[in-house]
Amino acid sequence: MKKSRLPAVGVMTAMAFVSLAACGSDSSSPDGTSDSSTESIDSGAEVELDEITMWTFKQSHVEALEAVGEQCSATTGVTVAVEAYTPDDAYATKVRSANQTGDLPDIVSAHSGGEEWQFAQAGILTDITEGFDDASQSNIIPSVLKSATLSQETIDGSAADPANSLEDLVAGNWYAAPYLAGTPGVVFARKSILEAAGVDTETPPATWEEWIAAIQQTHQADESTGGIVTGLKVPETGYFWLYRPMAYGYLGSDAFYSRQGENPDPAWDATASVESLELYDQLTPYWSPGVLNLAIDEADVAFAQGKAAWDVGGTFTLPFLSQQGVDPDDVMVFPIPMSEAGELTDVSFAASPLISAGVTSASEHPDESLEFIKCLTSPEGAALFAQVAQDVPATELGELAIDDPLVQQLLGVVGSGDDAFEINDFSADPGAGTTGIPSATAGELVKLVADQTSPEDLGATLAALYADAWAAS
Amino acid sequence: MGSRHAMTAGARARRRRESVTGLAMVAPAVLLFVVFGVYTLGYAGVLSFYRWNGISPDWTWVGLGNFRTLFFDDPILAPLVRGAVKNTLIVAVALPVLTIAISLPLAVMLNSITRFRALLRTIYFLPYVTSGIAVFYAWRFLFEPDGGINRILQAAGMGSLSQPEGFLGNPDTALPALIAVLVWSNVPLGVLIYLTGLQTLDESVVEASRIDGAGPLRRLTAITWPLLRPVTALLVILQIREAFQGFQIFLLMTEGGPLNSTNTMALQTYRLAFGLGGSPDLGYASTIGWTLCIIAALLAAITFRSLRSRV
Repeated sequence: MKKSRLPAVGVMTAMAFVSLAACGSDSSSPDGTSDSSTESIDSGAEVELDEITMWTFKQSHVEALEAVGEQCSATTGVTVAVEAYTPDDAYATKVRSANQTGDLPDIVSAHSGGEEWQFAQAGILTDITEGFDDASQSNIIPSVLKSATLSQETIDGSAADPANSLEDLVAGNWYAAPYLAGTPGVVFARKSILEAAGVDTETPPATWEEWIAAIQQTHQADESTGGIVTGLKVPETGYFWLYRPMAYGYLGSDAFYSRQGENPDPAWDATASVESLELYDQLTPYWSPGVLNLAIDEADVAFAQGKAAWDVGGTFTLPFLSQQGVDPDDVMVFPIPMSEAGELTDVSFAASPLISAGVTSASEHPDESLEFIKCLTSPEGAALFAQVAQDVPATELGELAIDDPLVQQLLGVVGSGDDAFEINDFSADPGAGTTGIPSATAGELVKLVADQTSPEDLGATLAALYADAWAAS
Repeated sequence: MGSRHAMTAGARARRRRESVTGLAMVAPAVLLFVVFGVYTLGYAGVLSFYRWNGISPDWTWVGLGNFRTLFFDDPILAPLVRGAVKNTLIVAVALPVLTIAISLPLAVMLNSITRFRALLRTIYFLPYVTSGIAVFYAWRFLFEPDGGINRILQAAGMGSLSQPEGFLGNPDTALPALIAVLVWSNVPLGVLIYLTGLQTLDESVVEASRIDGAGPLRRLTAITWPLLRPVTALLVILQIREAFQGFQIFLLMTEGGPLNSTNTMALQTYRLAFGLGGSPDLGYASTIGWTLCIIAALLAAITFRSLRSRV
């Protein structure tokens, strides 16, 4: 009996250790890109340079970033291995857990205008102010630089949320440098569907009214493929990408920002505001079937598959559409047009910083990592990045040419003057946009699409929402 | 006397050895439970009194503030959380009721047939073993505006029941559609559990009722159902657990939409923990997690009490 028990005990103990080991951390990315970045190094020439690692949450940027790393290796003295972790929540979890275990890479990407500062407050990113000097900053598009600069107002506003306070950071200092910019509020149209419906594809609609008429035409020609689509499963898309640009033009700059303030003028339930909601409601009959259950990528896929004539996205939508095999010659690109009855009829959209890169506190090559970031944000590095990633860099390219015609169209959408509208500027909101009020507004606005509210009722709801949010802040 | 004492001492030693062996056998399982069960529960319990974004080195003490904020005070989060509680309770009631209403008659029927019994049982159990991400996505396609269900309804002349936005794109039909998928995937388990229970019933009681002239429905309600109360209680507990803990279907098929009509407490916990729609806050997530745990425990206790065997 004794002899027969010992093996059983041994087996049980071994099983316990095996199960505990199986619960250990898995350092490979959800989409297996860590192997590919290692291979990209292994397949190259014999490595003589040091290697730094960079994490990003955009699979479409891996090739571009590594290409820039290759180009910059002469000055940085290092090669760059890039790993992508998607989706965004998986990336955030990866960074969080790596921070706990001390496995951070040399460089991490972060969503600009918030995430990089949270990382810095947590000690994940270092202060790079000294290295990212005036000369480096002068390369960045002015509107991008302005939005990417940490202001005292943002630090003070963050105090409203104790879990996300930025109290240890210094206004004006740099903790990450923006390398990707862009703007939402860009419409992509399938020329083939438009032409079949008799819509002019040579000249984009100049006004909101013309655009609605064109959508009506494509929808009448074929309800199943002639509609408009965007990722309304994420309600923020309808609010940030579509309603805000249109409302900015309709209300004018002062009224638009005042409406979100503590003493709104006009209020959300005032006549002008309700009229802007009525304009947005004009789209309701023309949304593609099932649009409320389409996430951002799913909406773009539906557009790529020809299930919708119009897709509202941003400059960042193009790389994904290209990956889906959309023929560039079949796509017309234009910004959200303004209403002819509005205060402003000609509005350009300022480029906003979208993704920044910072040096982590765990980096063993901080100087080299910073040099790579400076090279990435230089005109030459940014031009190569834009060409390969088919996306808009945060750097002014000046005389440098981009061959890709669609990227050229995207660059044309982005405005740079002082009057350009920054779609992602929520500084007038309660808590300077650090609270959940933009998402809550989006959640109410999408009820128009679902036909669950009217513009008047929605205006009243939003007026109360903002009043409560200001009272709580 | 001496030999009796020696035997007693020997028996004690043997019993001690058996105890040590038994403890050694269960120690790994206990250790796993302590680490992944008790420790994580306690950690989350403590965290529910703090705010923490998951990366900051410090936690911010708020006491019961999280509970007040999430359920009452915050003008943005409180309505969202209350809506999630409502949806969760709807699922927690509908899922067991529908599962039992379908499983029990099905089990009785399967128990009474003799031909093709094994084949039919295998077929009816298939949904349970095929549940998962692939099946959820398959159901998503079926529910789409041009999906299979709309096509079948239109072909059958019931086009008025079809949903132009798709069943998952309409806030009024999204939650019922997900409940239907949950019931579909849980009925096999109910059938299996009831079949097992039916095997344990005393045939003489059933036979006696048949002789007395009781029909099939009367036998089901007056004999089978009361005798299977403990089995029903177990099934209800399992369905409540599924309703409270399971969030994969809500995440994968609708992500809580449209318009938060399918947002549940488990999904809201996930959203708060990973910052979907806002900044991540593990303190908030732990608060909802513990609330969910308390509600589920209360429901389980009520269920056991009301369905305990009185036979």
